[in-house]
Formats: sequence, C-alpha cells, structure tokens
Amino acid sequence: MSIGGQITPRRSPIVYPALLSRVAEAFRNRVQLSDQVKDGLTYKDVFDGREAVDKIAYIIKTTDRNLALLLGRALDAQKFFHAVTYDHRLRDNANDLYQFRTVVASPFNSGELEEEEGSVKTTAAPLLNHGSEYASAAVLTSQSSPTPSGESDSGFGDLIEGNIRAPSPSQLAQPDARRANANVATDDAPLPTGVFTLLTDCYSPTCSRDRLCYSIACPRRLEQQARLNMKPQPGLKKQISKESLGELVTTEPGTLWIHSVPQEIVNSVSEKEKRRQEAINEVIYTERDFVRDMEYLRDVRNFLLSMSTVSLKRILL
Amino acid sequence: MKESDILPVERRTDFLEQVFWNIHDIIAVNTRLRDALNKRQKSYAVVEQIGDILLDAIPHFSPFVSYGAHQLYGKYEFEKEKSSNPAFSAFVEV
Repeated sequence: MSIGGQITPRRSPIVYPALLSRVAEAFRNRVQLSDQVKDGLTYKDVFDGREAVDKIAYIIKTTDRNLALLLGRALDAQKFFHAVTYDHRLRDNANDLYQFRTVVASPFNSGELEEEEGSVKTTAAPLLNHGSEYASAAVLTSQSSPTPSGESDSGFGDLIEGNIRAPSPSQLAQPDARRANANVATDDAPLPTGVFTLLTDCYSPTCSRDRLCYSIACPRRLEQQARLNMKPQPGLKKQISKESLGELVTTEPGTLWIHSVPQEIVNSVSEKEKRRQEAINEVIYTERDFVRDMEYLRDVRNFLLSMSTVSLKRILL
Repeated sequence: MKESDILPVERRTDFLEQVFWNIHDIIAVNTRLRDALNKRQKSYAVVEQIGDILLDAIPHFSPFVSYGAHQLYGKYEFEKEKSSNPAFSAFVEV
C-alpha cells in the first residue's frame, strides 16, 4: 500500500485531517457553490467532484488526490453531501455535481423528521468507532476497486447508514434531549463525525515530523524517513539492549577494551583514542574488582560474626 | 579446633568493628559508582567520558576518610589478635 508514501505535505494542514468534523467544516467554508447544468437540468448551489477533491487536498495539504478522494468519500458516506443524481459516490471528475445535504428548517417539525434528525445528531459519540472502521475499510475498498463506481460503494454506504440510524439506548430514554438537539440543528445538517485513521497522528509521544517513530507500522514513518533522508529499511533490525546491568559483572576481570567492542569500532578510532578507551576501561573494571573485593571482606566479617561452618565454606569455596 | 576459638564471643563484636569499621558504607558508595560506570560502558562502545560520573560520586566519598583515619587502629587490633590467638592466626593464614 503506497498511499502513505505519497503523502508529501508542503505545510501543516489547515485542520487536524483525521477528524471528519473538522475537515467537513473547513470544506463547507471553502468550497464555492454555484449553479451548474448537467444533462439539461440546472442544479442550484452545487460543486463538482474535481473541485471537491482539490479543496480537500488543500485542506489536508496533500498532493495525493487519491487520499483526498478517500477522505471525501468518508464525508459523503455520512450524507454530508451527495451527487445531484443520488446515484454515485464522490468522484474526482469535473462533470459530476454534488450538493450539501440540507435539512428543511421548520419550526413545526413533523414527528417523522424530528426523529430522523435526532437519531443522526445523537449518534456522534458511537460514530467515532464506526468512522475509524470505515477509514481502514475505505483503504481496502480502494484497493479492490481502483476505478470508483457507484455500485461497488453502495453496500458500504448502507453499512454506515445502518450505524447512523441506530441510536443508543440512553438516547432513546431521553426524548426531550433529543428534541432539543434536533431543533438546534435545523439550519445546517449536522457535520459528519468520525476519525479517518489513515491521517491520524501517531499515539507515540516521541513520534513527530522530524523524529523517526520507533514503530515500524507507524503511518508517518515513510514520510519521516523521506524527510530525514533515510533509506527505508526492509525490516526490523535487531538492536542489542545494553542498558541492563548484569552481564558485565561476570566478564573476566581486566578484559581489554579492544576485545570488548566490534572490530569495526576499534578500526574507526585513532591510536590515541584507543589508549584513552583502555584507560577508561581500566578505571571501570578496577571499580568492579574493588566492589567485588569489598563484598568478599563483608562476607568474611559476617562469617566471623556468626561463626557458622556452612557460611565459611560458602565464602572460601 | 572449635569455631568459637577463632574469635572468643566476648570480644568478637568489638574486634570486628575495629577491623572492618565502616565497610558497609564503603560498599554502598562504590556499588553506586560501579553501577553508573557499568551503565556508561554498556551504553557506548566508545565511552566519551566518565569524569562526570566520578564528579557525582566523589561528594559521597566521606566513608573513605573515616575508614582511612581508622585503618591503623584496625591493623593494630588485627596484629594483636593474630599474635595472641593461634586459632585466629591459623584462620587468617588459610
């Protein structure tokens, strides 16, 4: 999968690109609506598919139109906008027209409409999960059908829709709160919610733009490697842990430094540095020996204090 | 030879204190220093410096002063016991 590798943001994104609500808001503020004709019919307040992908790519600062298209589909999966013909998902094509979903604003909401608004609005929290599932599933979808078509995506849209239409039990138990929410949202349709996992930041606090993530599976890793001019490694490399104590204690006393490090390191330092390293090494192993001697003295003292044959043998043997 | 002959119980504790003095403090200080040095050596194939570790350790070296100041007393007790106590003399010659 090479989508991650193609991400080459020039500047930081306008909003955190993984949050569908933020992207949706930025998108709605930036996209130009106009009246356009398709198949002899004039559609009011519409935008075309290419412009939508342009805007999303701009918002998340990517040059990868495929990625922007995927994100756009995550938005239209939640009915944020739809094709004017209602028969296909977002496509990167100037001939396809889309319009935002509008909610009919009326102070006299019918019970039916109210219920629909309420259920869409109040599933915001559960949708976080569904959104991330969708995001990873969206990648799979794009793999299986590189040329986007309405048919192949429709099943997926139904799946999302099913999730949206299922209010949680606690919300069902609070009809008053639901009604209040519905009234607030009468002017604009509610923004999509969810997390687009492909664009999330890494969970590791040490993973940043200029520091390579420790995780080989980090989605930012390719980008980091490119920025740091590193060659992508084909796999994990074993790194021997040197931090823990213990092994050196059993090392033969007085081992030379040149025998304790790899030959290429020995070869890479000057004669003077070698002598310096041997001197440092001598200080360190002398300290080890000293502590070992002191511990021996302590054991003799403890033996004399207790006078037990068993402990004497333990010391002397 | 009975074990108790090596050091008669009545002067055992005093004798050991005079000879070994504050060895526990010496061990504690040096164990810390040794561990810090070991860690440095394990972390770098080419050790850049150890002076910082020594500088950290030296302010805690006062047990050496106490030990050194008392060393002659310990040696005196040791030699006295060796010359007057054949069992002890045999033990330390092992």
